[in-house]
Amino acid sequence: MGRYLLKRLSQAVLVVISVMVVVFVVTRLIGDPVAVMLPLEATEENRALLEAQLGLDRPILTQLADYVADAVRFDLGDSLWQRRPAMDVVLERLPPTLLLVAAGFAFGVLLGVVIGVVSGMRPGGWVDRAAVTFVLLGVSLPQFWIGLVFIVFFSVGLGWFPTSGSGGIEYLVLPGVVLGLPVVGRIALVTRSSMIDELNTQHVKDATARGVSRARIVMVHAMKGAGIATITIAGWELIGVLAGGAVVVETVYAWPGIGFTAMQAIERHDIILVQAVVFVVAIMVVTINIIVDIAYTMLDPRVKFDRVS
Amino acid sequence: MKPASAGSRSERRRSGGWLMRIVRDPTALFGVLVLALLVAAALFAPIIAPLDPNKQDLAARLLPPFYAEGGSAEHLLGTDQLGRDVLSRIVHGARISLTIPLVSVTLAGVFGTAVGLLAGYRGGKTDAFIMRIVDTLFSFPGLLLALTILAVVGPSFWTLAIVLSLRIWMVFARMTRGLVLSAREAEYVEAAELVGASPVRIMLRHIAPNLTAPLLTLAVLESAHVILSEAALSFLGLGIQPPQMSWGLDVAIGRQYVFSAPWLIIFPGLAIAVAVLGINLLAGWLRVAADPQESAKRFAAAADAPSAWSG
Repeated sequence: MGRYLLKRLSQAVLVVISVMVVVFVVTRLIGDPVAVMLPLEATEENRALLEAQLGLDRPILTQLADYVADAVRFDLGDSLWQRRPAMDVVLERLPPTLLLVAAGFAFGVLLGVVIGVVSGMRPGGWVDRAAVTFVLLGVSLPQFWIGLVFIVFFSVGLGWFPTSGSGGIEYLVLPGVVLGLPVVGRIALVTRSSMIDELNTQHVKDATARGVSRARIVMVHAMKGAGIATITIAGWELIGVLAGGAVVVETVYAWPGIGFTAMQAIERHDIILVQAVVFVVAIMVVTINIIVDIAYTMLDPRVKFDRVS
Repeated sequence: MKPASAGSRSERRRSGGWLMRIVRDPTALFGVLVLALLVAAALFAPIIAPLDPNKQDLAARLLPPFYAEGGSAEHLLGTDQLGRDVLSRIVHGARISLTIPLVSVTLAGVFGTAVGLLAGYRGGKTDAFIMRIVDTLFSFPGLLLALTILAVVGPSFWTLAIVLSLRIWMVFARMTRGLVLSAREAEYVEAAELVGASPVRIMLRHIAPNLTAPLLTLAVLESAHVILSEAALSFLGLGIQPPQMSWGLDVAIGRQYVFSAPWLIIFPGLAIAVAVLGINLLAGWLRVAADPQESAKRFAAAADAPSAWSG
């Protein structure tokens, strides 16, 4: 277990470093950071000054080494827009994102598991058909569009929720639901499918023959097997919500988290702040990956630690 | 995932070929029709669209759709803030929505399949090295990284298509590798190796046929993802740029009028939704149709419901 953890941790560090190297290569080699940051009317002197200020006049390998070394110490430079350490800005905006992601993810997983179990119990029944249709819509409708349609319908039309911003729980409802909708769909599909498989296994049939109640069979026997599949996919979903959905949903609802911050930073050509957001998200993604792997290994006795790569 | 068996072939003959099977399944039929409509709209946009999508008419700004008060048959889905016809813009928008997935999925599919073949067939250290890179890329924060790259490199049709293909090629690599590994263990491949068939011949004659159906299904499924990603990136201002037309971009513009002219976001978004829904339905049907095992499971599980999605 200890050796396995160490191996996974070193892989995680490698992933974060490679994300940063990719960002570095893209920003410094393919793009021209100074040209992006400066206004169009900037002179050659402005250019040289900013280059010197950012250390871009040094050899590229020195820059890369310094950049990685600083990043490891959580120092990503000063935000050009806010004129203070970019990490401070990101950490300040992180709690709202975590709240939103937690709400959306919890909504998605809970509703998804319920829909999956109910429709998996009677495949082909009307509940199943309705559920599968709903699920299909959830993964096919563009998230930013549902967000806007919800604003039109629930905020402007019915006046139930505020259109955007943050504050009390009423601000959390719409973005949370929109963020969780695609999760509902995919979790439900996986749970449904493994539910059907589990209910067809011999030990469930034996239990039925012994006279165990249907409710108990579903809750205890089938859920146990289906749970493993669901947890694996849930980890992926959490990563998707964090690294993709949150950016879109926060932008639609002007939710003051790191996704919205990233978009604001891009508008203001603040590459350094964008890099800091990417860095923090990358760390969270690899952490989730490790947790999912460990949960998976502990839940499924068939998977041995040394076999997971 | 299983090689096409004699059983499935005879079944196909009995049920009258692929076309009849699609027509008989309402979900697949819907998917095919949506796709056909999209292709037609993209190919013949100038003929189908009632008006020039870029023609401004400031006297006819923000006209509501035909069903609302003040709407007219001239602008069926209303007009935008510059008086441009919403319906015509949607018809023309199909061009980008179709070409971006076509380009991205082709690039990603060709590259990913090649990498997967290499890993699966060479095995050993090559395989371990390639799959390590693939696994690492799977842990990348996809959309956020795409946004960063596009912000720095500058959004355009080609940067968008390439960035989107960079996000998905690993899926093809992983699936191809898995398929090659399982096909290599099949007895008929071992037999071919024993009688001295060359690696190229084994690859083309015995392994490649097992890849086509699943990879094609994956390509269809991934195009749905690409359409959604393109729309999201264009919505965020880092995808398609005006004067090019994209549904996601039109939603972004309509966003400023969300209170006064909601049709500006409703209809372009609906176009994205219907396109993605159609492609997803087709992919779902293909997956079942191409895989006898999956098919058996689905029919056994839902005996009287040939397709759970038809409801």
